[in-house]
Amino acid sequence: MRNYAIRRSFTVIPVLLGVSVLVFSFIHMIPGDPASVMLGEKATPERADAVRKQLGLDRPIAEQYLLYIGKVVRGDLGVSIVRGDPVLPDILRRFPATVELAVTAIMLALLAGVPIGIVSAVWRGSVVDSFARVWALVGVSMPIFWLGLMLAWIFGVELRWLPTGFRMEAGTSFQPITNFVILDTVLERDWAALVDALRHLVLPSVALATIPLAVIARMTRASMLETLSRDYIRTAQAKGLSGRVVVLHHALGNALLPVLTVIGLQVGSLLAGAILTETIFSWPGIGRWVYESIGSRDYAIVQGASLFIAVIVVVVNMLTDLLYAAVDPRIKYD
Amino acid sequence: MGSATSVAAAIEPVVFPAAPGQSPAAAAWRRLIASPVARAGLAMACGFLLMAVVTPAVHRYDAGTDSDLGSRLRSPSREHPFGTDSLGRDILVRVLHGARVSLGLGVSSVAVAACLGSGLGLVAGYVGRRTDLVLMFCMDILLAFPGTLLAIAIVAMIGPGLRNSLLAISIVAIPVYARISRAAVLELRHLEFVTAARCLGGGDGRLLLRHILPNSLPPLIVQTTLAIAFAILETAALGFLGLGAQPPTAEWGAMLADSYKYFTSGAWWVFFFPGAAIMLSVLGFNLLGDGLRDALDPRLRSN
Repeated sequence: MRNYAIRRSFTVIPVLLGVSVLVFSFIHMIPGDPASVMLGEKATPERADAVRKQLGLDRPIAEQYLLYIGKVVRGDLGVSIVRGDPVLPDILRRFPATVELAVTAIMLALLAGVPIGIVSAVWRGSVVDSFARVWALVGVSMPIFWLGLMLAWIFGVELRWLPTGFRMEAGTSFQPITNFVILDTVLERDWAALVDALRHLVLPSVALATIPLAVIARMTRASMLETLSRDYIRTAQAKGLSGRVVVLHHALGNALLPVLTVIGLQVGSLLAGAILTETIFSWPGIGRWVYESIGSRDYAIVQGASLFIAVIVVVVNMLTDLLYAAVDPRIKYD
Repeated sequence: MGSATSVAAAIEPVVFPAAPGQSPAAAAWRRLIASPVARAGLAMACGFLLMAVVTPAVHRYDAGTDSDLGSRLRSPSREHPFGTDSLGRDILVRVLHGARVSLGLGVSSVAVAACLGSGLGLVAGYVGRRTDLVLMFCMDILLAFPGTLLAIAIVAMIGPGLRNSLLAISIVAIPVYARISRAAVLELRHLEFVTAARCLGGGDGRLLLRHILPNSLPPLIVQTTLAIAFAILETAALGFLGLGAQPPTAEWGAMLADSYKYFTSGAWWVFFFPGAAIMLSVLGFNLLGDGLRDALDPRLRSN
């Protein structure tokens, strides 16, 4: 297992290098002269020259890449073209908001998706099953920005049950320390602020959970059906065990293994989906920031945030593989 | 050569268990039609495709001169069944015309990706060795990126617009095609009928195009249907972020971008109908793709 873990970790390096080449090439996809495009109306030949020099665009392309990767390795993801701030600290400041949203969404998806998948598999072909299968396809087909709007309209505007934007009420005196608001409110035992933060979290996380929920429900169903057809399940049934014990104690553990992989794979779509969800709900995370930076043509932020998200996705997928190997004793990798 | 072809054709394996006198395609079609879910998907997908083709033919629409500021944000009525938007434009008309843009972009980007992607996959799988390694590594890099994020980043760089969205969505869809067709080639290239065709003097191009490609079609067809669904969703997402179709073009995602500020005012119809059109068209292709998978791959039907 340890050898496998080491080997698997090394396979990440070429992928990360490839990803960095792709992200590096983003800036060269800008049509025309990137420096003038970035400066927009403020462009003069002198200023364009200065920007070109600052970004190293006057050097040979291979040298540019080496300079870029050298900076990235040292934690320098570039400097915002509009505001002049370094990109990485800004990303790290906004990332907790996105993590909070994404983690809540994946937990909702698991809590709803796994039971739906189990019920669907156990009562295969029933009305419940047909309904769950169609509903799973509806979930995968859902434009989450539209779902977010509908939720905000129904629960925020018409029923006035829940807030439709930001992480906390405006004018709150609560000051987060780690920027994980839920964690901070618990640590400071500020229960009113916790309730406020949770209320703000409901609508965006439900919107973001839709697609992973559908995918997890489908995967659980397929995996459960396969497990239930195994011999050891028939043996358990033949022993006279109740259906509940067979499903929950014998089948569920094995059936959930492939679901684990799916959760890992969903991290990418969650972070990409955050751009849309955060835009709708004015959620101050990376996604909304990327959206605003696209509007202000702050290419350095788009580039830096893309690299950051892609690296997280690659690393999470690797960790999922390792976890999979660790929890499934049947898998021998050495 | 003529007899060689017929011998090679005669020993091709039967991919679908078909009743005597029934072609594999006909058998798959019968299985597809037998499923109510697939029938619903087929009807929805065809309905939206029809909408995209027929609407521009029977109704001329100029988004630039359509605004009527006297009737802004009217709720659905007999005159405007879907209501009017913030510029007084009839939403039903714009949703109908939006089908051409959204589906057109979805279908054409998938067409580009399918040709390029499966071409790359066929070559990688058939040539093997270093070509395979390099091509598939590039595909893995593209796959490492979340699709939506990559599309957004590419369009953010090369500039907003429909043509650039098409390019970005195609690039995102290429690696899956490459993987599927490569896997099919690796499975097929050592089967007897391919070896037989090679022994009969078939060249590489002939083997790939006449023998391997036709037999790797079923998974590619399924993927195409699902990819169109995803591409429609991406098109709408890009339009919603202001990166795809630009105003005043009638495109579903861009219509949502125009109107989403109005949700606080209770004007639900401005965003409900364009979003419902996105959802239903994507659902149609997804249902169809699911049905096709069951119909084309008898091994998976037990699931």
